[in-house]
Amino acid sequence: MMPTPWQGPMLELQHVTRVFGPTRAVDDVSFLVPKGSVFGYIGPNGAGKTTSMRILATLELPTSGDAFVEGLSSVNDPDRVRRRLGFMPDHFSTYSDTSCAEYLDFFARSNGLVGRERTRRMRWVMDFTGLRAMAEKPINGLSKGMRQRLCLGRALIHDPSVLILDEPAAGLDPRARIELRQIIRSLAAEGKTILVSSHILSELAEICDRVGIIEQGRLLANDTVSALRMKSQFHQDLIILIDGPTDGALDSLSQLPCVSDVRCTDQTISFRVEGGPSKQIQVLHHLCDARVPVMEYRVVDESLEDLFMKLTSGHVQ
Amino acid sequence: MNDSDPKLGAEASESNVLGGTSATLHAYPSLALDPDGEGFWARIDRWSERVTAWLNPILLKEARQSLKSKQFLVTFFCLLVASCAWTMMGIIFNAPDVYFLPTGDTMMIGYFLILSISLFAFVPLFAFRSLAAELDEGTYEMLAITRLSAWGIVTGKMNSSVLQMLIYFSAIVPCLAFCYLLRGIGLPTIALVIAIAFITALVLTAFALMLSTLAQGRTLQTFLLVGLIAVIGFVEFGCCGIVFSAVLTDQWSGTWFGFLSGFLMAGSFVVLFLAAASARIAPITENRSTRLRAILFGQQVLWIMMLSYATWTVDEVEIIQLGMMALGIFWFVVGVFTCGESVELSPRVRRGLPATYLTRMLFTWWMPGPGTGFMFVVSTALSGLIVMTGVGQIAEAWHVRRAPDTLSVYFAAMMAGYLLAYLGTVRLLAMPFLKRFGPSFIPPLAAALVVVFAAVIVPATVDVALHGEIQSDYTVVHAFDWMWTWDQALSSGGLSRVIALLILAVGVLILCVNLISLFREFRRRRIAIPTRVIQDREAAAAPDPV
Repeated sequence: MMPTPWQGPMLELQHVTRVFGPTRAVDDVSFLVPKGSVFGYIGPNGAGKTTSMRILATLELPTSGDAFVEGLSSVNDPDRVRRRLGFMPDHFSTYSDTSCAEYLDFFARSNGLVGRERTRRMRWVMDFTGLRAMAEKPINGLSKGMRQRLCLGRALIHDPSVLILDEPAAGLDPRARIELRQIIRSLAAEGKTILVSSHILSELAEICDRVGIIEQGRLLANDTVSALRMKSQFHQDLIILIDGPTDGALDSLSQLPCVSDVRCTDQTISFRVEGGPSKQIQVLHHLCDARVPVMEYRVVDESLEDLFMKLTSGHVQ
Repeated sequence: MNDSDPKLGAEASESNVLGGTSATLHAYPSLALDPDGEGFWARIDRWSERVTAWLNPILLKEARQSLKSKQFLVTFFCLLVASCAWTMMGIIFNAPDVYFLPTGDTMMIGYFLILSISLFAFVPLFAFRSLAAELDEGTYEMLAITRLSAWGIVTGKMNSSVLQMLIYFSAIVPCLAFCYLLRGIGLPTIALVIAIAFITALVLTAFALMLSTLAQGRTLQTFLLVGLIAVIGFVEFGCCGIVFSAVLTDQWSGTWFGFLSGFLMAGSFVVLFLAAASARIAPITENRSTRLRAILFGQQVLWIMMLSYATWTVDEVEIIQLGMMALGIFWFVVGVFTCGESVELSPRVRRGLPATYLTRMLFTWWMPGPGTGFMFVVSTALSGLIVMTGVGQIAEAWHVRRAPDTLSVYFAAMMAGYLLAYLGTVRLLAMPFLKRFGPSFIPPLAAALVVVFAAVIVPATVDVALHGEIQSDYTVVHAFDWMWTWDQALSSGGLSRVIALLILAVGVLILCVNLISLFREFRRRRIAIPTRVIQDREAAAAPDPV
């Protein structure tokens, strides 16, 4: 009988706490990442992102709680977890007197790849990361972007089902960042589950299915970007475009207690509505009843940066 | 893996995710030769690929690195130049009678010095630096998340050190061949000198690897490096002394058993040091103790066998007693380290605990934990002392010469008493600190130093307090003093039977106090293996559908 493939979440943190002396680097953090999704992990420096990623990657032990990869405990079955996991740390050291091809070959062998399988896998990784031209170059001579690609190649060499990428875009130039984003997208398209942390929040918003916001070791939010927006909409910025003079519209808006911060430029009026989506509908009804010629009614979307700033206090431990 | 992956194979080169154009411009590197290629070289490539698949990846990586490093090239050429220079000097100074004078042994002195300096100094220091740098610079973490086990990593480092030794040795082989042609030395002597050099280098390298796993932070690393250099210097002088005075002067014939025993014990210490190093870097949730205990047990068996044979060969019961003394010291040192183990067992270890009553009786002591470790040390040491007493008794009955007046049975009682008393006291002293600061071998080590020194100083202080000076006669007060008691036991007067039994009684009393705190560790039971792990095992065992 063929064993059934794992149907549960690919990554899971269960009430993980990690204490370093007086500091609670990770404080009762729980989340799970379903198969084939990209989970963005964001938080200020020292928030506990790297520690929780290292716990998942079997490099750190939690003080309490447990972490699971494909249902296997990172604490108690690290060897089984490691077979399924590719980890790219935020900073990585390399060996001297070693070329890129030798480096990848070493890690391919260390991951138990032999013969044709290893050769084919190395070719694939070099093609995928665009490292073939650099194959014989010593690692010490590589640029930051190329080193990041090499590190990603190392994480991918054994074809893991789960990838943990800690600040993969840190220190990269805009082109390299765009290229890295493309890589992550294509890996996600292949069905790999990815946990990625980054400081460049706009990029995470584009590639992540869900995001988790962590600060001072606590997970403040964990949802899709759009759901987080909805949850955080205690007030919403709106823009309307009026066909004609704006005086009538300004009068109507001034009668509504939920409207504030009204600004007018030419035929465009921007204002803030306190309350949820029902209040916005109420405002639109009111304008229509007052026969204000509204040509356009637009909600100003909050960026992930805005959400991040709204949810976090900026305190570090 | 992905044999059917459309990105694999020839067409993959055209579909770079990053849109690169490298595919048409750059050939695949030499390490990724075409696996489907035809012809002689492709076959050679596949054959060598199959061979290297069996080798430890670290060995391959370090061999590649070494062959490119300036450090290695400089060392190798220095060795080559030194051996050539010594050969030329020998020929010139002994000319024109170099083939007629017995100059082989003199030439061998120089070759041994050149070989031993490179094997004893460079190889262990490179090994120390290599593993310490992996741990220090973070490359170890990348290694740790591969399929390589901690044992695989450490043996990989050891393998590359052995390769380095062989390369250094290859530089001096022509000179050794020349030396063999000279008078005054034979092939067995040359072989023995080389064996001594190699075995010693292996022990030092394994020791250096173990030491490097302790080196957390630059300060401690520097401190340990200085310590290692001191040990290397000491060993170099010791080995030179043995080789120059006992081997090259042809004094060694008839003592083959001594050398063989020495090599076997050295080999067992190589395995022990490597196992200790791998235990240090293995995940904390792994069972890191049982392998070490098995090796220690094996060492005791080897030790007893060697001493038993030596007792009959040398016709001297004192050998057994010296062996008991060494055994007691050995288990005391081991016991000090086991006292620092963690009380908590990870679920992973608890899955492997003995399940039945019988296996619990036999194997619980082999499982991790300070209490089980203490009992393992005590029971193994006691069984060793009992067996050695039996050997001693039989030897005495067979009229093997008795040097001291202390019978083997009382000597064993004294050694067992000291082990139980000192180790038990160390454990009791270290326990509050271990509870407060967590598992570490520092508190028991500090406690051991205090106990060992206090045992000598306290009786002397009592003497001075009571009599104004240290007494010249051994009395019951001096039973605390291990140093004086051993001297008394091995002297012609022998040790009083009453004092031997008194030491044993005190030891048993302290053991009983320790036993009270041990029960918790012996009540642990095996836990079930999680279903997911069983599923994973089945999946791994299932045949590949392709």
